[in-house]
Amino acid sequence: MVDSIDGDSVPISLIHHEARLSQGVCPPRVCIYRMEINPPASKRKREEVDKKTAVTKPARSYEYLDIQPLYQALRTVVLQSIGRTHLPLHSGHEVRMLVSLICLTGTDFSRGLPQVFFCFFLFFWGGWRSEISRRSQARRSMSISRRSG
Amino acid sequence: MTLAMSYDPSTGQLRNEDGADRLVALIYHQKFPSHVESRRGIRLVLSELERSKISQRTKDTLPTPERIETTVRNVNWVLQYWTCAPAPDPLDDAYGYRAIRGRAQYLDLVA
Repeated sequence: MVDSIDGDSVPISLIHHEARLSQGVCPPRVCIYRMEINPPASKRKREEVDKKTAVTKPARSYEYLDIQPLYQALRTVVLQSIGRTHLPLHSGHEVRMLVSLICLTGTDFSRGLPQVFFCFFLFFWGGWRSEISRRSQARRSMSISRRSG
Repeated sequence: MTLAMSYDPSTGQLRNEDGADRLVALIYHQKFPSHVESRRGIRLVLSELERSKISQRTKDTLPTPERIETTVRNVNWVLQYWTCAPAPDPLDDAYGYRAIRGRAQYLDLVA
């Protein structure tokens, strides 16, 4: 369990998870306890009043992030984006490559590229794009069948 | 695919030239697809953006090629540092930092 106040702990854990797998060692189960990003509106609206200072603070919510399933999901997306191209030397580096891309948006030790935001990568990334179009197509066909039904 | 071609698995980091000229150039091409035709060569992509019809405010935020090259080198150091093997000296020329009055600065701001 990693109690984290720093967002860097997620890519660091992913890199270490992949490195252990590449060494043929079973990686330890890592869970990160951190402040929730983009919490649902119902949680966000709740506010707390500090009893000592009587100052109203915005509510914070926390979450557990299990690195193993996150790693699997991200690796799948990277492999989908590479497609059928066989890159044996890059095997075992998929998530590290993705982390290098994420780092271009800025870390504690490097500046982010202007006009480039992390969410932009979600659309830039081929795997995500095909996944999004696949899901939207499925949704569209569902609504068409409902209308015709 | 461009990401894979810009990444050197033997060192576990981005290739400096490819990182800027292929990967970052493609990112800006994707970001401004109607304003940039080139997909390669960061200087070419940035010059096309400078000549394009995007707003002056956006143009003012665009990085210099030197900054992009420095950022790619910085990212390579961060990747090594996060691996927790003895981290390489950040002041090595390969990593885009320079010591100025005892403090590490980004290379493009110093040069």
